[in-house]
Amino acid sequence: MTALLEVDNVTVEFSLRGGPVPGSPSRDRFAALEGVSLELAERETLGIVGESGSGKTTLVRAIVGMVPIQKGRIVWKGSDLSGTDPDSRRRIRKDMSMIFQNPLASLNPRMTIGQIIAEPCQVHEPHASRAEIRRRVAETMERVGLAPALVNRYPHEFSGGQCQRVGIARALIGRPKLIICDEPVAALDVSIRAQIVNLLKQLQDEFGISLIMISHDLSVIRHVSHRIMVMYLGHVMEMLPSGHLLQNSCHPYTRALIESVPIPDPSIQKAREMRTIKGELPSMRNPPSGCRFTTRCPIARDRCGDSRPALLEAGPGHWLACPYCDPPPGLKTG
Amino acid sequence: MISSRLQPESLPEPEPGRSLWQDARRRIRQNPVAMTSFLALVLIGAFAVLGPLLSDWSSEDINWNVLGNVETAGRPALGSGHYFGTDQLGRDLFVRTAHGVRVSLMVGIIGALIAIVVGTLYGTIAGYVGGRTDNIMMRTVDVIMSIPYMFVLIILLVIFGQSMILLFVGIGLVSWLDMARIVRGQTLSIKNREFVESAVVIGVPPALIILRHILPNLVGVVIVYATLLIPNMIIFESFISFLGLGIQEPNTSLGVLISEGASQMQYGVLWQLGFPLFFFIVIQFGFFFLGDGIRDALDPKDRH
Repeated sequence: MTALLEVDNVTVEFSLRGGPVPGSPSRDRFAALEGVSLELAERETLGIVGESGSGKTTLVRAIVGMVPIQKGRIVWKGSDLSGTDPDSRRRIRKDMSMIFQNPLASLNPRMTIGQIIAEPCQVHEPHASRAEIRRRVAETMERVGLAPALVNRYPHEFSGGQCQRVGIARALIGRPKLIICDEPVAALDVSIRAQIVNLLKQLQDEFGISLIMISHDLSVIRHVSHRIMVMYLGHVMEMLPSGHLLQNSCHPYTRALIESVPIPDPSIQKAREMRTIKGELPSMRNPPSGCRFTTRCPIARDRCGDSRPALLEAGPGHWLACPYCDPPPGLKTG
Repeated sequence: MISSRLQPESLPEPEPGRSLWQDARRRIRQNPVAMTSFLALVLIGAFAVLGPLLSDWSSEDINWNVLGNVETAGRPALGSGHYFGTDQLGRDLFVRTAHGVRVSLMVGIIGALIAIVVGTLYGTIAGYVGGRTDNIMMRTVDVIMSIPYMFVLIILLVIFGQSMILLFVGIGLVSWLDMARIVRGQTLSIKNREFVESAVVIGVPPALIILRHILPNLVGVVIVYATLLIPNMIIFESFISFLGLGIQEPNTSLGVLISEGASQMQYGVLWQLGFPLFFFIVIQFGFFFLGDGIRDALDPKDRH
């Protein structure tokens, strides 16, 4: 299985005076992402979880080329994205698309949804005829569950769920290989979430698309993803198959995330041993040395601050950046 | 797989959408102040264009029978054909007022057009490109703004003589500065909205992003500001003309007429001041209320 996308040891730094500036002195910079690697196969879904400020969005923005990377490389189907000329990069962009968190804000209020959905087509296939584009817009709308008769409507006439379907149609019309979903359901009603998530899964099966899904809703992530990556302050903490998340995850941060999910039954919720992490996310300007989770980690030792723990294989497909936590309970028994 | 099972001819008739413009039009129709202002401005525009046809006089003809006895013979009267009376030289004030309104409106609209074209272009580019370009462009605006333009314009008019062209150059120099600042600020906020980000991810070229995603979302602000700018430009021209440096005889503008009327006040010919002033004030209020109405119509959430 060759990887569709490979992110190799990528570091993204931002200047404190706004925007990523490669030349500014180091005290003015912080690393929003440091030494992050991942691989994504075709038809695979990778879920990324982490608190706000953990670098999830920066990672996907680096993948689509919206923020420059300082170190490492991003390889798309065997070709290094940072090395390719703008022309082939545009062709690669055709193969990637993105769905945004706020469905209404990601649609231009002055354009009809037909124009919005057609935009990737017009940019990437300038020779397509108007009738051809109109036909494909109608097809795609129907596929995501929107009536094609609505093409001339404007985004403000739609509900949040419908707007997100428009966003999905726009991401889908260019027949991409990879769709990146940045919190696709966070702004939606719970009742709509399942519809959108299931639609994404169906489309993945139908068109053989790979997905990168960012969310802080663990249940959504577990439902759609094949593998889950846990991030904290720009570092990868743990990466494991999603079926193993509840039983086999063992990084203290992952456990804390799982335990902080409330259970909608007061008696169980009260009886639970609350081991949620305390305190705020440390400042990016002055991150903790060594393992970045030390300041809030329940099992931190003195040595944790010395050097960054390597991401080591703890089981089949299970990578872990913590040498001290208990071995995965699932592995202990089995 | 999606196949071509859906043929174009089989598509159902698309339902019409309700654009933000249609919403705004509906809201402004329900705003009596704005509609009254609009109607008043339309009537004044019609008067400026068609008024001279209703009179036997032209704006340059002198009624020799009136000359020397303006106070009594030049009174506004329907019988004499001088509906608004005459000025101190015996020229028909009705036609001259129509002429002055025409010139003043032209000055205001040309000033606003320069502001729209130059200011919008300048502001969007500065805001969208950002960084050093933005800094250089906006500091240039600051420098031009810090020059006392009225003083410079008066010197220019004195040195090169009075001319319409120089007046338009002067108006053009100052009118776009505020517009450029406003547009730049708006561009900065629109640039960070998600739909622009999504266009960047799709790979839309920057020029097309400005044209398709930023400009249409700026139009509201630009229209409102331009509507409010027109009366400012009229005041600006009137002030220059009031000082005797703007429009030259026999050409006239509201500023010139008001200036002449004011100088004759003590001779009992108050109509010479009254009629031009009336049109001046109605135009001012008309544009201000219309601009306010457009702003409310475009942004109903912003109303206090």
